[in-house]
Amino acid sequence: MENRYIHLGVGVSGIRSYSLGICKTFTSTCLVNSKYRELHKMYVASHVNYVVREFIDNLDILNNPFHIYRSSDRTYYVYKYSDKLWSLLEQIFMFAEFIQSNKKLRYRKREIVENVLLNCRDVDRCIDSIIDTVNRLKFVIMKRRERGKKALLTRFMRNTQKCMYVVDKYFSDLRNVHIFDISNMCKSYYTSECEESIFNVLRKFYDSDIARRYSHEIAAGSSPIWLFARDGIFAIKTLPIYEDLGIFFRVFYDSCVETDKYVAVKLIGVTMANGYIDRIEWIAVLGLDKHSNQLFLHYVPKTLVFRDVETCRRWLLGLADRFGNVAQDIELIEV
Amino acid sequence: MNQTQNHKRIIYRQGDVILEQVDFNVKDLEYYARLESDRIVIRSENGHSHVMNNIKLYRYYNRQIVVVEKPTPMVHEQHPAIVVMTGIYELRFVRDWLLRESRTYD
Repeated sequence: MENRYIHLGVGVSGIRSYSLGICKTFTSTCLVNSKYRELHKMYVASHVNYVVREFIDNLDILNNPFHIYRSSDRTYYVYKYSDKLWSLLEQIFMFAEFIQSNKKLRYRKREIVENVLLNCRDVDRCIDSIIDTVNRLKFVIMKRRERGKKALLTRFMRNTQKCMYVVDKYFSDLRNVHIFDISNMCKSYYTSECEESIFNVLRKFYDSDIARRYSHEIAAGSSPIWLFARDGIFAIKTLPIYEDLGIFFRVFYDSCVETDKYVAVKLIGVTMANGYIDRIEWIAVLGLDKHSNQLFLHYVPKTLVFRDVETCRRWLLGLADRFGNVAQDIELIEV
Repeated sequence: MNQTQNHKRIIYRQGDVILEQVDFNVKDLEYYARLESDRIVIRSENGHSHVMNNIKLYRYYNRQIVVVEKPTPMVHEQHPAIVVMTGIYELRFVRDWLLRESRTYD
């Protein structure tokens, strides 16, 4: 049987990627001559650097390569091929990328890798240890995500109750909004027919330039419902909502303010699934100018989800960035 | 007009119209920008207009710069008048995330 070798190319974090391949020769000929190469995979060095190096340093089977050579800024460790060893290396790279993909895991990767290495007495146990650790961490992440969704829902519901009196007093239309349903024309991806249908509705209320730009963004967006305010409040339904499957669209009132010049409420449109918030679709500021008795509704970035309505209003005026940092060197005079 | 570092930028807002104080040299404006008008008339979505007379409105690339040489009121039929003090201002409007830039509704 022909000999096969595993070539593990160890790069440098942030500078040179890692590579993993199977070759028919143990020398660097494999790199330049494809007839010796059976498989070749590349990995981002900054993603896998720490984890792979820890395994090489701590596992005897990886620490004693059959051959070592340097080429193209990588140090290549060559091992005789075995299914177990190949499987172990694949698991190590998968494990490294999984840790890198999650911020909270990334911060404690040293501890996680040490725990895995404690059980790496042989290759089989090492593979089992990696798989068990990944499954356990996935479960922890899922639980954490569910807790986050529950906390978000609780926050939104509590704030909605607080702002209910403002909405009832100034925006009673919001409870019974007229909906223009064009969901039969739209798909979950952008189509020009959808944009035209939205445009035909919006041009009754807006200048054609503004209507065109709104309709283009909405046709490309993922929200099933979009709100607008002119003389009254109306909505456009662009996608079906599968209520029979437990998927709902809901608008929460997250924050509100009332002054002698204006009233404003921060609206958050969300898609709910399984009783929890699945996705925040949009955030908008609905307001009433008391001087002109004019309703207004403007969308703000989703990054302002935890900011109050006054910060969102400052963003609309160009006085805050999209993370809610308000400019300090200004004096706002408004009527 | 040069501003000192401690000086706060003044921003006036009347409805959807915003005047933001900017650091511009009048001579540069006269040389590089195009004088468009000696008054501002901006129609609101409800048909009324924001009006400001006795100013100089320049077009500087895609920016509109207003030079106010003496305190001047901006008037609107539905809003109280707001007196804009002497200075150089950029004319802006309330922006919208969905429109991707600051544009007025009309």
